[in-house]
Amino acid sequence: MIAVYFFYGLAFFTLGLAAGLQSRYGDDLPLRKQLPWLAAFGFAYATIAWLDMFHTYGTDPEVYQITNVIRMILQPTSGLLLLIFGWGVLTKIIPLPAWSHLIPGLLIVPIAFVITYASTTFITPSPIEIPIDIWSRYLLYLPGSIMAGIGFLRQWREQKGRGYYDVAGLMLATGLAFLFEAFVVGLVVPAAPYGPASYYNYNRTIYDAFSGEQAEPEKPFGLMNWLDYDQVLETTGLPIQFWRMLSAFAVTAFVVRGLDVFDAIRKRQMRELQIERDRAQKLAIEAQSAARQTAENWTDALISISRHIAELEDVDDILLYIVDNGRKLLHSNFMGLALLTGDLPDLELKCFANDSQTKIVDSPVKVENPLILNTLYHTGSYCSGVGEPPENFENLCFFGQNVASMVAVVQLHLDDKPIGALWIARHEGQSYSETDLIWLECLADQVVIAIQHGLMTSQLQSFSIIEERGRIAREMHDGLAQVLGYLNLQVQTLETLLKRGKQNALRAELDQMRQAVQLAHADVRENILSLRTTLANEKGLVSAIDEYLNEFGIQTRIETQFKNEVGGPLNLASLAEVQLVCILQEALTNVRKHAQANSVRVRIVQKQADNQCEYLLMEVIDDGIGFVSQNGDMRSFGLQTMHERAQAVGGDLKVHSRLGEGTSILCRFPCLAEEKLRKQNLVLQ
Amino acid sequence: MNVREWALPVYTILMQLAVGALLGLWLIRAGGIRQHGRSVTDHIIRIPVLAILLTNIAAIIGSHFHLSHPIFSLLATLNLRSSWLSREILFTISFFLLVSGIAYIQWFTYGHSRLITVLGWLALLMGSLSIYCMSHIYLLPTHSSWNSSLTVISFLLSAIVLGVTAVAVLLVMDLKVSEVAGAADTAVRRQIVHQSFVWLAGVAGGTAVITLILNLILIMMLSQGELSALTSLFLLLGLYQPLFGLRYIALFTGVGWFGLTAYMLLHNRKPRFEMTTTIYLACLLVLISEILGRFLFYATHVRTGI
Repeated sequence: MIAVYFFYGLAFFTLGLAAGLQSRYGDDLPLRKQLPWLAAFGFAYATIAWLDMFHTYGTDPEVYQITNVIRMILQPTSGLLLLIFGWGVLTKIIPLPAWSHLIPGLLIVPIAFVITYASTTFITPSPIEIPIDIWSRYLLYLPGSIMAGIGFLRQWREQKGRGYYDVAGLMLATGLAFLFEAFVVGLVVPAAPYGPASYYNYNRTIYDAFSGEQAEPEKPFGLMNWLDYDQVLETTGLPIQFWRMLSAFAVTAFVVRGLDVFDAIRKRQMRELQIERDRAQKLAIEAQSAARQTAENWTDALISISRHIAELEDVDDILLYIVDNGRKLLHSNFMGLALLTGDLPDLELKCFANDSQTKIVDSPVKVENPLILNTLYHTGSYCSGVGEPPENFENLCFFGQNVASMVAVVQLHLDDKPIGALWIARHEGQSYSETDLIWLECLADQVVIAIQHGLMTSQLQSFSIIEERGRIAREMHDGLAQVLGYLNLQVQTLETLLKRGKQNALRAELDQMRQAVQLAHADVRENILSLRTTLANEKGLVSAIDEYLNEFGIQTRIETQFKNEVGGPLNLASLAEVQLVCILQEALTNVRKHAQANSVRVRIVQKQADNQCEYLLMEVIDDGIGFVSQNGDMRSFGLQTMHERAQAVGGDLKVHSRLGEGTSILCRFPCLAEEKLRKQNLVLQ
Repeated sequence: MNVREWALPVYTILMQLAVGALLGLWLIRAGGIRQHGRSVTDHIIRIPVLAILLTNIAAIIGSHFHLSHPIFSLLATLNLRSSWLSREILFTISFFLLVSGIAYIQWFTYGHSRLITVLGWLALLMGSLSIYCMSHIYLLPTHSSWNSSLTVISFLLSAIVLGVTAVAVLLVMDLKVSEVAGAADTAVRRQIVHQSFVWLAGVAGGTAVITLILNLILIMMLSQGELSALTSLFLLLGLYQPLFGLRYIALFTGVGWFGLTAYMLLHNRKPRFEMTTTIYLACLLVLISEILGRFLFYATHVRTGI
């Protein structure tokens, strides 16, 4: 029997040790958090078992008294620890349903009766350790083990529902082990002279607490008469301690194994989560790449459209470019552009792109689709959804056989007034998204800009022609018209001299007339030269100046010399180049008209100012008669104009002249930084 | 007292608990109707009424374990003119039927709030009469420790102290369930608990004090009585002294705990989770105290003569 008690205690000690070791892992498994209570229970119960071993072996009475007190304290304590563990397993691992919160309230009454009944048994003459043992088992071990058992059985259902059949099996086994423990540890109690133990301990004597008399029961209480230590031994051939030991080993084995499997599942779940996360990341990166690619495609397309607009290409070509690229980028079968025309505006198809062609519509094609018209006059933008009537998709895809099944339409508006509509259509496939609609609106903006730009270019061309006509008119009025007027007067003078026969005077007048005609001829030729000298050709400013000076020298017979001391590009803004040429033309006109010079030298050089900025210096020096300039006063209209031209582009102009010493004009223009110049060139390109 | 005789404390305590709880609940209901309306209040007290009915059923079932032939228990109602037991059974059955009617209306029909009110007060009347008859059974000249009006008063006081603590538990239990389930009327339940706890605790405290005073008067009466009375006193203060002490320790600890909880709840010093636990414990202690009191009532009686 001593060996039985030893192994009995050892079983519970093993349970405590295993639970204690498992609880030290410190992960967040809910079951593991409850293990310290089970460990404490195992150690406490093992101590009780080993104390029983010593009591069976026989000890000194004084030692017995002390150990018995310890046992009496340990038994309810261990029961309490098991109760806490059971409560934790039942409630903390899987949340209880709402209705279960009624149970404690409803159990108060029976618990109160049992406790009261238990308290009354303590006044019977039986040794106090007997009621302590019995009620520790009934009130603590039994509910603790049952709650733990139910808790594990709930785990069994939970794990089975998740498909973890290996864990579910272990949880079922653990739950059954705890229920077995509830039976052998909590329900089989020592013989006692009061109920309910006396009920099933049929052959015990009944002790009347009041009278103090003992009596044999009239009839055996045979309902559960084998729930007795002796009957267990008699029936099974093994003492109750053996069965309790067995239950402890079973609980130990299944709890420890269950925790290991939980760990394995946790790791498996972590691996699966990692794989899932990697897959999600990969998908996200792919989606990002696709989105970036789409955005880049769109950016390229929009930049390209803007470039076409900036290069003043034909509006029709730009519109064709837009619909063709828009159809491809929006993965559509058709893209159409219609504009309002006429006094009673009709919406007419301007151009379109489908799978086979992209073209401007020559003959008028009226657009009468209700979706397009409704978008044009009311909604501003529209994206077809599910359940759209089929007739709404008719007359959408012009110059094709297929009927659209999805469509997105946006309004074209200029100065808040609708001017037309742009739409895309698919014969099949998925519907257009909000993003598609936004891109379509971007294209619509580009269409409107192209149309606006075309209108503005036409206006600018008109303005330029008017300005040029005015300038030519002024030149003719100042030069040719005056000369012709003068010649008219001279002709009258010649007639008079001819009638009077004054040959010498007539000859002199003819000389003057010749000179006047030569001057007029020079003016006209110079104007023609000026008109011909533009920067439109691709030779650049230096070549233009060079050519102009050569031509000027030939026409005026004034020797010209051009010296370009700039090694590389001039780095001038395009407007500055134009102004530079105009200033040079004005200066050379002055040389021809007023300087009586034999030669003129033009030099351009690049220098650096005090603020580290570079500037271009142009010198026009003649060897003419010069003129008197008072403190640089620009009273001459031509000089004033030259000065203003220089200032308009951030430069300045200085004139130095003395009588008999010729004239020099110094013109200084700021150079652009390289980066700025590169951007300007890009824009121009 | 053997196990079979425990059927008597089970029946009397559970019956008193049911009547007392219904009394407390009906007073709270009256206040709740004024504040929150009939339909809301009746909906809130559905589970407490059901719990009272179950307690009543448990009491009736428990009483049968005391009988040698439970199947013939209804025959005990045949002597209404002379037997307090017959009257007790009649009123108990009436109480059961009326509470069943209330529960049926609340769970299976809609409205009928005024009918519920009338049925409730009628049930309270029947229940009170049942307790009165129950106590009169024990007014026997041969049992000096029982044969006084103190028995009647103590039975009624038991009903009150058990009722107010039980109704507190029922309300808290119901509140907890509604909180977990996320019921729409949880705020109303919380308000009802806040408002009712103070006076429930006050009634419980006052009743406990009166019970103690009555017990002291009983002790004085027994000390001045004849042999059977002195024997009863000897048993009470001798063999059962630990239980007698435990009964009042449990009573005042439970009532005090209840009062403290109500005070802290009133001043918002206690989370509701702790409130649930403390109220359950308070009710458990009061119940243990009253069961112990009833055990002592039966265990200390000594019959005069044969």
